[in-house]
Amino acid sequence: MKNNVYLAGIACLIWVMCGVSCSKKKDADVPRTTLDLPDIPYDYEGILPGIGQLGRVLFYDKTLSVNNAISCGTCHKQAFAFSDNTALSTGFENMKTSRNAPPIQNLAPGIFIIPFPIPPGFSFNTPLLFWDGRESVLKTMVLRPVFNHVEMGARTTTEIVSKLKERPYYANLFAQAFGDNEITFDRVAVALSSFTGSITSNSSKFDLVGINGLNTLETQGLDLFFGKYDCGSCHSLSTPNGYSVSTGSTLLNIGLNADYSDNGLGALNGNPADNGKFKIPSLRNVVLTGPYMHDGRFASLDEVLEHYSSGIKNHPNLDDRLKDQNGNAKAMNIKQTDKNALIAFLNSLTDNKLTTEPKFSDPFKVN
Amino acid sequence: MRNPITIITMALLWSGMSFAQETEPQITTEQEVKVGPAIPGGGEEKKKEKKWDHYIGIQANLLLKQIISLDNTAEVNNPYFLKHSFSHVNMKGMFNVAFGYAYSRDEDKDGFVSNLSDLSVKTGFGFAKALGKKFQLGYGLDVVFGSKSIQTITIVAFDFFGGGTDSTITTTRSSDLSYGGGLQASFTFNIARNVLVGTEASYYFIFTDSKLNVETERYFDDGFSPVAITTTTLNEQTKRGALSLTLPVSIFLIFHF
Repeated sequence: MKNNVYLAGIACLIWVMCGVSCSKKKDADVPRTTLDLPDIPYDYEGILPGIGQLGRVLFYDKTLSVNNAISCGTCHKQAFAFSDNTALSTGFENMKTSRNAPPIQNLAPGIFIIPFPIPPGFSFNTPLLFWDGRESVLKTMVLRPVFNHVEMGARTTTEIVSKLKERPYYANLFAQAFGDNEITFDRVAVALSSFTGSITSNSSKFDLVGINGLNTLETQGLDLFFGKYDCGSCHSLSTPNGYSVSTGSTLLNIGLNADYSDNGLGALNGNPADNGKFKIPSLRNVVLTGPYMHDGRFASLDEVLEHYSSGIKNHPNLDDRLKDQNGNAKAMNIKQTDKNALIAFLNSLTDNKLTTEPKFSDPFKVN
Repeated sequence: MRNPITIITMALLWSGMSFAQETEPQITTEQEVKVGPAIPGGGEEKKKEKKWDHYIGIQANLLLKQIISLDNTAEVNNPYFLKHSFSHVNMKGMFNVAFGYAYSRDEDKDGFVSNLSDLSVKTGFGFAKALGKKFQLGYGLDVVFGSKSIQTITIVAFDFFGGGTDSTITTTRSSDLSYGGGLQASFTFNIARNVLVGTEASYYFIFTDSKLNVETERYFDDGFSPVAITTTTLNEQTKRGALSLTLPVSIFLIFHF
């Protein structure tokens, strides 16, 4: 009897090894999409409208992934300030990425002050991108997920250009953007980085009404943010990237773990003194961008505040601002009323215009 | 390693043989069971008519997470959810076999279908050292094998101005075949008679042979000409070797019989 059980087990294993074929879906079942673009392209901050429109189409076009399954917009969803509403996103083979997809907003530092359209070929230089700060050039950054073996899986630039040439709508879009319909990879990078760089969040309640326009609870939260809990020493609300450059490094260890499985900057440069350091995220639209932290471990802002309240772990690289007088991890002991006020204030940083603006929306409409 | 099915079959038969031998006529002489060689629980108690010690372990991280809210987000990267250790009472060491398998199928409304199959098997031999009455430290050498395959199908149908349709069916098949070996260490604690909890760490050198095949069929219908069908195929193979550390973050619930 036991031998039979084992034989059955072996048979199951062989079945597993052979794999299970998946049936192809009938073509008729597949939703059909069309491209819905305005006759006159929208205006985009700091860039030519044609480039913005091309960048928008590329951003949402699944053609950029090796199997036409994933676009940039799959993980960077407009409704969530171009972040993903899941801890780890799903790549072209349905595998999970290793880090949480950060929001895309205000990535171009000079975007508010450039009074003229950016010429083709110009690349925005931004201070730090990705959770470990590995990239600082937006034009290069936008292509990394395209070639990432988990995210979009594209193999070569030639392959991408060849696929784009097959699509009937790109010749016209490239002509509108660059004056002729030649499709090159550099132009793809320019259009994508220009579009992502133009995604600007500056219409939150905090932006529109200022400090004096906040209600009582929001004002109380503001005072706690910059006062008692000193959140503002790391999180700036006036810089595009959202961190306070004047206070030192833009990547910090905030005591998430005593021993990190993902060492962030330390894993990138091999320096143990940088283990556990990750980029300080912008708090604009923070209510929309959960789950939080590089691995999406905190589902809500309550959980984030609870971390600062009583969950900071000791670590050799823990930032000094999160240590007590004895050098140990600080427990901020944030009262529930204070948490409510802080969250109310963070709510005032939500920019509903960004999340609904048509010029940033998915132009591929399902029929 | 060219025929993984054979290896897995042999590994399982190996573990199965130990059960099979239990069914053979037993020697009825009473003998004293020495201290359990790899995992505690053997103890110094006396047992009758027993030639083989078996320990079946089940990875219990998710179960524990349900019971106890641990403030621990460390990634559990141990792929084995079932392990079996066994030894003859006269042996100084213990054979170890472990198995893990995951399968998932996903299908979304946009025409994306994916199938994932992930198998991990290891076998090895180890020893143990008792640390007091309740704890035991194990160590040994393992040979590991893994096979992961993913198939995805994506269908995109695009209607463009003028009544034409551009449809693309893309099928990807990727496989990772990995094999290697190295050191493993375990730490177990006896929580009740014949019930233990333990964790293990490993340091393996693993070779991985990865293959990717992408087939694309494009059907282009402009509404006037015959439908143009284009097929493209991409094949890619990469081989790599890497040292892989598995931290002792997985908890096994182990039963001894």
